Amino acid sequence: MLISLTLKGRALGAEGPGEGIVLALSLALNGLVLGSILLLFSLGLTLIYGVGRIVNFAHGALFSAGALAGAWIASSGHSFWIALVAAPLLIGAVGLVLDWAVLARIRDRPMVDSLLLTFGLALLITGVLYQMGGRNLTMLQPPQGLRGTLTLGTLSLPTYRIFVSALAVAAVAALLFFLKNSNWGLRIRAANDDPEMGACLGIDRESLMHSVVALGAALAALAGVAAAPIFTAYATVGDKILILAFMTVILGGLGSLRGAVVAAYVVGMIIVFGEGYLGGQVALMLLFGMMMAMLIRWPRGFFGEGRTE
Amino acid sequence: MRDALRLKDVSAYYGRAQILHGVSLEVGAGEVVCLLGLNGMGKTTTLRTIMGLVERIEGQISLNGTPLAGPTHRRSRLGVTLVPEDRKVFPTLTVEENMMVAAKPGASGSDLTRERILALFPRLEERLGQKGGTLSGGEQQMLVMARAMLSNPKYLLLDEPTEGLSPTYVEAIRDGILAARACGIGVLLVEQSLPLARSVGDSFLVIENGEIRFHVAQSTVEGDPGTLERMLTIEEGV
Repeated sequence: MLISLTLKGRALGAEGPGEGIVLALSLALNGLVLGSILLLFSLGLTLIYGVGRIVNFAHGALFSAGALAGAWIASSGHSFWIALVAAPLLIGAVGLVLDWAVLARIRDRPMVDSLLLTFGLALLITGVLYQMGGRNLTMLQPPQGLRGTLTLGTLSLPTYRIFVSALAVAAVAALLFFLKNSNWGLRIRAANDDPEMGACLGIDRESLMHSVVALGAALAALAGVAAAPIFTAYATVGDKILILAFMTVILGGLGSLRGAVVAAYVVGMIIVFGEGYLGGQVALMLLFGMMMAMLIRWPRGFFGEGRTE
Repeated sequence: MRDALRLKDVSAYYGRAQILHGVSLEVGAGEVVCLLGLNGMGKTTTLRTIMGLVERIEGQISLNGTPLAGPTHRRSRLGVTLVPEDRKVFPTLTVEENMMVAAKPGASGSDLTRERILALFPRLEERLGQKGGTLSGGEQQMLVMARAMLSNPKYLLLDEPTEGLSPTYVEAIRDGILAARACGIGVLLVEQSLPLARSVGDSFLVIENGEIRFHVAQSTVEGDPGTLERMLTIEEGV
């Protein structure tokens, strides 16, 4: 099921002398790309859980919405770059409205309420996307300058995939810098650690959550648009990435930002190398096994700082 | 009417269970009121009720004449801050960040400056760059006290701040309470250690089954130091 999401490492630069090394390097690049997309996507999921204690099942639908919005904006005659900026802004605004209108109504209710509600929201958004034409695969062409390959010795690397990795790393670095160095970021990190204590010190969790859900939705959409030239865009493309993202969040520890950063690349590498050497199903089994082991033995994730409810 | 944090006939509920039954109390500016009682009698719930952390609240709570209602962050911004029983430092924030996140606009006018607070708790100055979660229990308690004092509160709610601490840390917390009082901050202190309560308290309340049972003035305790022990023994015997 998930194999269509991975990046077909065997197909990339695996010919000629030193084939094993070339394959490994190609897979590493693909793992980096998938990990970067997962990271963009998972950071929003992590922040939404951390500050609002909401496990957002609608996050995958926001990825799909971002991918389709980007593809539709580009197909209406605008450039890829406008699509890359406009779709996250649009979906970020959708996230803001969703939090204000829906998620805020169940704040501090048992987690099962948020699970069911966001699952319903995911179905609703997917339904809307279907109605708008998202049933069909829509291609988003990368700009001309990013379509070729970069050749390093015997290794040919697709330029667009390198761009996606660089974009994701830059976006995540900017976000982490902002979280570390702004008052807003300080309040987010405090509320992420302990929302109740944050409120006791005057942090307004409601307005903070509006901004976090908007930001999370925008990041999911950015990941969706950036990935659209690789995965294509359709109404359920985000469902598959959502499963990998939940694994990321669990491995990194619920609510742990640095855990999510490391786990995103671990999941990306396991999926891509697993598919390259062992086959896609084995890679998934390996990942599920690892997730179960973590849940049983280290439920707080890689750095031991995630939450257990 | 003097400035005070007032609870008038306050009841609080968790679900259907009523925990507080018509509690009335008053903490004046620059006054330390100790709330004493056995475990499970409603001390922590009283503090959480003032902060709006209880599901259902009835009765009136006011702060210097202004009704204290609405969400917790709004109550905090009006000037009341909780130091909870289980410390609750922000573990992934550094000591410096834990203090910065609490500092409010207007706090610069307070006598409790960052320098003064670090002088009260010098161990924190040595650990400004260290993550809150890596501090010892005593250091964490100092940090949450410092954080609360930096939030420019009019009233501090302290829930067993010396529980499980060594004498050195207890002394530091005591100094912190006295410094807050000297700056005109009212303190509602829940405390199991009667020697500490006697050394800082201006008046004493004994709570039993969610009701204030005794109200004792400092002068009574000074004249008869065993008063509080006897009241708590009576409560235990009921």
